[in-house]
Amino acid sequence: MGLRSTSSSLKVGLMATALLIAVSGCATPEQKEGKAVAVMYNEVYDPLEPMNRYFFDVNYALDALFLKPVAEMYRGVVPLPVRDSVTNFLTNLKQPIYLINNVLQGEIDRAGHNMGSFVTNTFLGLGGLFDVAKLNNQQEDMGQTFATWGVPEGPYLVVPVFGPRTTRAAVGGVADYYLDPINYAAKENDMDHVGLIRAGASGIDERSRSIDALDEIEKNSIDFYATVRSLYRQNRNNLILNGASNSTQLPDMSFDDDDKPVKKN
Amino acid sequence: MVMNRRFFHGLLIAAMAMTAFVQAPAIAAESKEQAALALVKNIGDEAVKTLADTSLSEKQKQEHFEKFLDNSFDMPRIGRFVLGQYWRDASSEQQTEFLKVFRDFMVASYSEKIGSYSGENLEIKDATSLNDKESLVHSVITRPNGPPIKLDWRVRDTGNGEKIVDVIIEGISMAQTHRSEFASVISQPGMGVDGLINKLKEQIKTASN
Repeated sequence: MGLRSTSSSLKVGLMATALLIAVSGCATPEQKEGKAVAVMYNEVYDPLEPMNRYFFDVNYALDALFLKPVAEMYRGVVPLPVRDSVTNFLTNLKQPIYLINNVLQGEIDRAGHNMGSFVTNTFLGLGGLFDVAKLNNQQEDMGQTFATWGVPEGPYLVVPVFGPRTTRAAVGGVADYYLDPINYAAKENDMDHVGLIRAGASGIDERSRSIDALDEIEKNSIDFYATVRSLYRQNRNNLILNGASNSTQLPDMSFDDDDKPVKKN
Repeated sequence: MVMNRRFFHGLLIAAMAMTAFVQAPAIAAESKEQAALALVKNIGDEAVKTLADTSLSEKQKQEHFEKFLDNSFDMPRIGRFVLGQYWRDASSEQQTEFLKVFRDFMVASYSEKIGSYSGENLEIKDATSLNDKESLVHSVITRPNGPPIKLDWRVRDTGNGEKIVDVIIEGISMAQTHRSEFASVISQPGMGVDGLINKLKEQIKTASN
């Protein structure tokens, strides 16, 4: 049974990868005339904007009806130390897939940190409830791994229920699900609902920690959709670069009335 | 022989010229980064002092913030940047009006965060050079509860002193975020630059109530 599910998972993963390549192939941005247009083009590639805006509204309504109230209740009722332990527990479960992705990206030191966190926190941190290792490992996923392999990000998508994704990240998310050792372990032990429960718990956990920030962003933006799209894409780029200062990615602010063009070093 | 000597002289002069060439910008670059570091350090000290000062009212703190925004940020440049490709198409009246409204929008958006100060501190790390005029000052906001936040300041030598042109929080550039948002508003049917200006004005009005 285990073998069969492994091979079928592999098939899904391969299909997802093929789909990604197909989509990103059609989506190679063409250079338009004029620098400004090319820059804007590069900044926001959202050919499906009307559909995305529709699902953005749908997700907003779903969030307002279900996720946000639950997250608010959770934040109001459950004391902070317990919530921290929930966060720690969920983060600990992510270390194996982070490790796999770090290996695939050639980041062996970071993979070592994932291993260290997982072993330390699982055994000394009571199954991951306490963060003993305190390594603050950054999120790693197949979307980022694809990026380091040179796969283009493809069009921006707003996926129903799941929210903003680049096409690359959306396909990566599917691949992550099928590569995650925790999901395998759950399946092997006939705990088929673990994936769903885990996704739900992560959703509430993450939403409860972003209530104030998201409210703030919404209040201060005149186009919430566009702001979220920009924040999402910049954050993805930051994750892909592992937080390294991306000075070469900073846009030119010298303008043509200035003496010298910006020299990148 | 003569050829050889000439060649040698030429080489010597070239070498001297090159060292002079290499040295001059290097010195300039260092002082430029030093100036940027000093500016951000000043701002950080001032901001924390103001925010933590319980004798100041919220309104006084807000006035401090406005002064800080006008003096330390190159608002016209940021305004021009966030308008992106639409700056060129806008009339000079629209440009002037936009710059004014954009400045008020920034004040309205950020000044209400003043009250939420809870013991954060700004730790300046170092500065790297971006080009002959700009440097990036790296700093970290340390918080009593929660992990530190990475904050980079893009500082530019404007010829009128060092000014901040962008703030980058955890890899997210404020200028780019605003540009993206504004471009989206302008490109909507029937909006244009005037539509954006009106939307910003509405936003300022709701924020100040």
